[in-house]
Amino acid sequence: MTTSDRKGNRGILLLLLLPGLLALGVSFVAPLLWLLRASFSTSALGGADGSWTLANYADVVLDPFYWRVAGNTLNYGLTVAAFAVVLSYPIALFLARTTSRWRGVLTALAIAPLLTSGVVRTYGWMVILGDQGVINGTLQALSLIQTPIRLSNNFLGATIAMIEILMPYAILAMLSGFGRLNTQLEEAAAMLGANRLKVFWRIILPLSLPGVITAALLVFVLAISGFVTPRLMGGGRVFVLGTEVFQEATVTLNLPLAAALAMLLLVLFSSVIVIYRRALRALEA
Amino acid sequence: MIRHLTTGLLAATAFTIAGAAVAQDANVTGTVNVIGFSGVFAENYETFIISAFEEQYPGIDVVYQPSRNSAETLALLTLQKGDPTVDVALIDVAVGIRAAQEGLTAALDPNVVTNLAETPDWARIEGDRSIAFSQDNLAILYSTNTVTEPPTSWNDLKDPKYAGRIAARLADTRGVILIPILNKMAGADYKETIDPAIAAMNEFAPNVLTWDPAPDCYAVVQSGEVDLSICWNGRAQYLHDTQDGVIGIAAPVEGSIGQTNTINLIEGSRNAEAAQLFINYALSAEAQATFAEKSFYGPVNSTVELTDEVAQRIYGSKEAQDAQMTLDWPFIATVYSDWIQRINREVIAFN
Amino acid sequence: MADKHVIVEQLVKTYPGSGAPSVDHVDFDLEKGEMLALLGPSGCGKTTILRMVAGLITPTSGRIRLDGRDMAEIPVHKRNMGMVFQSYALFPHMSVAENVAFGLEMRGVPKAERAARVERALDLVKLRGYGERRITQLSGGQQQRCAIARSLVIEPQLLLLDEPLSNLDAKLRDEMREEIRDIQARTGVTAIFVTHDQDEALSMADRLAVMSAGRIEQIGTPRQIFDRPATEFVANFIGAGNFLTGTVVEPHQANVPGLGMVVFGLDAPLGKDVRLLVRPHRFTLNGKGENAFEGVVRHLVYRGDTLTLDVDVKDRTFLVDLPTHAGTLPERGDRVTLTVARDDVTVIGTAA
Ligand SMILES: Nc1ncnc2c1ncn2[C@@H]1O[C@H](COP(=O)(O)OP(=O)(O)OP(=O)(O)O)[C@@H](O)[C@H]1O
Ligand SMILES: [Mg+2]
Repeated sequence: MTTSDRKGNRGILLLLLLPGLLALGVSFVAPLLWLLRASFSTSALGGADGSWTLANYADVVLDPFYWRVAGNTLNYGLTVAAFAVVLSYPIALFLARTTSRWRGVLTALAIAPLLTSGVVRTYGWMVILGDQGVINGTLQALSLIQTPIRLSNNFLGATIAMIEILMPYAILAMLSGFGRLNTQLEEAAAMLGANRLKVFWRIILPLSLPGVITAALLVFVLAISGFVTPRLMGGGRVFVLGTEVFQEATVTLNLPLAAALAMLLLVLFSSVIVIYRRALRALEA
Repeated sequence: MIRHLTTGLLAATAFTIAGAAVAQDANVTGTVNVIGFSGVFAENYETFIISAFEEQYPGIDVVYQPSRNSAETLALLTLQKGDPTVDVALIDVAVGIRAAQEGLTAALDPNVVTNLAETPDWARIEGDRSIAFSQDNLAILYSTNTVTEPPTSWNDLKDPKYAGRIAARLADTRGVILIPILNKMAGADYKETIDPAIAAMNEFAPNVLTWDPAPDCYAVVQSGEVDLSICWNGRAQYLHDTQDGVIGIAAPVEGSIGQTNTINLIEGSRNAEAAQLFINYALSAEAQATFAEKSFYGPVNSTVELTDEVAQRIYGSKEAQDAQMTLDWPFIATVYSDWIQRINREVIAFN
Repeated sequence: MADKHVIVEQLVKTYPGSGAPSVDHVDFDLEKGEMLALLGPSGCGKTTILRMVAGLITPTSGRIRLDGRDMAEIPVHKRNMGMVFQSYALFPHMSVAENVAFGLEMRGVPKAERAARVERALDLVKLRGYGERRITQLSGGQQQRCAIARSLVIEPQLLLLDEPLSNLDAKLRDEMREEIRDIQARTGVTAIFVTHDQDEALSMADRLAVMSAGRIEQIGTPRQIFDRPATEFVANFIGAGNFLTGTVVEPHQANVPGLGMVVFGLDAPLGKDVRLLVRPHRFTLNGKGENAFEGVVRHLVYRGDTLTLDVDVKDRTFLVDLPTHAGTLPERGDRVTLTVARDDVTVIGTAA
C-alpha cells in the first residue's frame, strides 16, 4: 500500500467518524464545557451569569458536609460495585462456560431486566422491601418479627436496589471481558494436577479478572452517578453527589453550585478510570 | 388575614367597578399566552377562570400552556428575555420574586388592574411586579383506614404511635413553610432565628419513615405506606373527593401557611393590555371565590367571602382559620436555600 | 497382557445427542516407553480416545488401565498424565517458567527443587534462558516446546499429544518431529500421539493405530501397516497404491480379469477372491520377471527424486513411481513394460 493510499484511507475514516464525533460534540462535549463554565460563575436567574468566580468550588471544598457526601458517594459506589460484581460473577461465569444450547436464551434472560427502566425496577424494590412489603409481610405472617425491619428508605434499601439494577450491566461487562477464558486451559491445569478449586484460583479467576475489573468500574461509575434509585429508595436519607446535584439544580435552583458538584463527581470518575487503566495494564503486562 | 367578611355594600361597589371596566375594555382584542402549573390546577384554571374571562372579553383569546414546575418556567422566561412568547406566568412566589428582581416581569398598572386595590400589601410583591393570587395550605394528611383519631396539632407529629409512619418531604418549600409555623408555636420570630423550628423538626424526625416519599406525599397515604404525610391541602382535597376518601386532611389548630402562587405580567409582552385585563380578572373576587370553591386554594383578594364549608376545607376549624399566617415572601426568598440546607444537614442527615 | 503399561479395552464413546458412537469398541495397549500414533481422517475419534484416556471425558463403556490400575474412578488431576494440546493451552497470564512449574506446584514440590526441575525441563526442550518470557513473546515452535516441557516436567506415566505439530510450518514440523522423538527416547516416557499426517505417524511412532469412523482398522509397526495393510482403507490412507481384484486359481497366483495372471508371495486360500496391492514405487521398468504388464505412458510428472507415471495397461491405469537415477527415463507416449516382484504384491487382509 502506498502512502497516498493510506492518507486517502485516513480521510475516509475521518469522514466515517464525523457523524459520531459531531453527535458526541453536540450531545456531550458542548454541555460539559457549558457546565464547566457555569461552575465558575455566580448563580443567576434560570442558570448562571457571565461572571468568573471560584466561590462555588470554595463552597464545596470548604464545606465538611460535601466531604461527607463525597465520602458517602464513594462508599455507596464501592458497596454496590462489590456486591454487584460478587453476585454477577457466578452468573457470568456460568453463561460464559456453559455449552448448553439454552445459553443464548439464558444470557438474554440474565440481561432482560435492562428492558425495563431502572425507575420501574426501583418501584418494584419498594414493593419488596417496604415496611408492608413482601419480605416484611412474609416475616410478620410467619410471626418471625413483630415490627417491620427497615429495609428501605435508607442506605440499605438504596444499595440493594442499585445492586440488582446494575447487575445486568456487570454481567454484560464480564461476558465481554472473559475473552481469555478457555476450557482447554482449565483442562490443561487439571492434567497438571490442579483440582477444581485450584483451577478456579489459579486459572479461571486470574483470566477473568479483566472482565471483573471492567464490570466493577462500570457499576461503580453508574452507581455514583445515579440519583433516581438513591432518592426513591433512600427515603431522602441517602446523600450522594447525584442527589445533591439534583437538589441544587431543581429545588434550590443554584445551578453553578450543582455544576461544581458535578465537576467533583467527574473528578471522582476520572481518578477511578485512571486506577482502572493502571490495574488493567498491570494485569495484562 | 386572608379572609375578610365584607359588607354587601363593598361587594356591590366592587361589582360596579368591575362592570365599568368591562364596558370600557370590551373592544380589546388579541391573544394572551399563559404559562402555569400543570395537572388538576391547569384543568380547573382553564374551566373556571379562563373560560369565564373569555366570555366577558370575546375579543381576547387565552391560551394556557402547562409547565412541569416553576423552575422550568423560569428557565423558559430567562431564555426568552427581551422577546417573550409568553404574556402571563403563574409561578411559585419564590420564583416570582426572583423573576421580578431580575426584571423578567413588568409592574402592573393599577388603573388597568383595578383589583390590585383589593389585594393585600403582602401579596403585592416588588412594586406590583408579582402578585400573589392563591395559596395552597400546608396540611397533615392522614390515612382514614389506619388513623382513627385524626391529628389536630402539628405536635401530633411527635406522637410515638406514629413511629416509622410519617412521610415528610421537607427539603423544599414544604420545609420552608413549616419553619415559621413551628417557630411561632415556640414563640420565636423566623426573621431572627429558626433554631426552635429545627429543634421541633428533630423531635418528630424519629417518626419519619421517608424524607422523600415516592412517587409523592399523597400516594404514600393512599397506599397505606404511612399514616401521616405533610402535604398540600388543595390536591389532597381533590384526592379525598375522587379516591374514596382514603386520604383525610387535618388542618392543625396552630394554623398554617399557604404555598403561594403568583401571577406575573412578562416584561416585553406583546399583548400587555389584554394580559393585564386577564390578570385583573384573575385577581377579582369572583374568580378567586370560584377557584377557592373548585380547587380549595385559599383566595388572596380581601373581599372574597367563602362559605363556611369551603373555608373549613381550605383552612380548617374556626380556630385554625384565625391562626392562619402569611409570610414576608421577599424575606423568605433570601433565606430559602439556607433554610433547606439547614433542614437537610441538621434534621434529615441525622435521621 | 496384564503386564502391559497401558491397556485400553473395548472403549466406546457415544456423545449425548448423537446416534452413532464416536469411538466404537477400541482396544490397544502400550509397552513402557513405547510411542503409539493414532492416525486417521478428521472426525474419526482420535481426540475422543485421547480425552478418555486423560480423564477429561467419561467413556460410555470400556476400560482404561495404567499399570494394571483401572482409571475409571480416578479424576483427571490425579492421573499423572501429561498432555500437549493442539493449541498448546499455555497459561497466558504466567511466564514460561511459571507455566512449566505449575504441575510441580500442584504436586507440592518445594520451591528450590521446583526451580531446578523447571531449569532442566527447559534445557531439555532447548528453551534455556526463556523462563522469564511471557507466552506471547514466544514463537510457535517455542510455545510448542514449552508445552512439552510443561507436560514432561511432572514425569508423567503417560504423555498424550494431540496433533502437537499441526500449527507449525513444514520445516519447523520436521525439526520438532526429530526433537520429540529424541526427547521421548531420552526420557523413556510412554506416549500416545494423535495425528492425521501419515509421514508424521510413520516416522515417529513405534506403532500405529489407523482409525476410521471410530474403529481401529489396523494396529502395527509402521512397516506392517505400510507393507501389509489389513484393509483397503489402511492401504489407501497410508501411501498410494494400485489395487487389483482377482480369484486365486493356484497357490500364489490369481487371475485378474482384463489383466491376466498375477503372482504373489503370500498365502491365500484357493478359489477365493482377493484384493491385491502394488505400491507405485515397487514397479521396475522394462525388467524381466513374473509379473510383466505392457502399457503406454500417458502422463508423467517429474518430482526431483522420483518420476510419477500414469501407465495405461489394457483398460486400466497403473500409478508408477520411478527413481530418477535409474538410467534413461521414459517419455510420454513410450511403450513400456512394468514388472513387479511377487513379494512386492501384497494381498490385503493377510496381516502378518
Ligand atoms: N463434545 C462433542 N459432542 C458431540 N460430538 C462430538 C463431540 N466431540 C467430538 N464429537 C464428534 O465425535 C467424532 C469424533 O471427534 P474427534 O474430535 O475425536 O475427532 P478427531 O479424530 O480428533 O478429528 P480431528 O482430526 O478433526 O481432530 C466427530 O464426529 C465429532 O463430531
Ligand atoms: Mg482431534
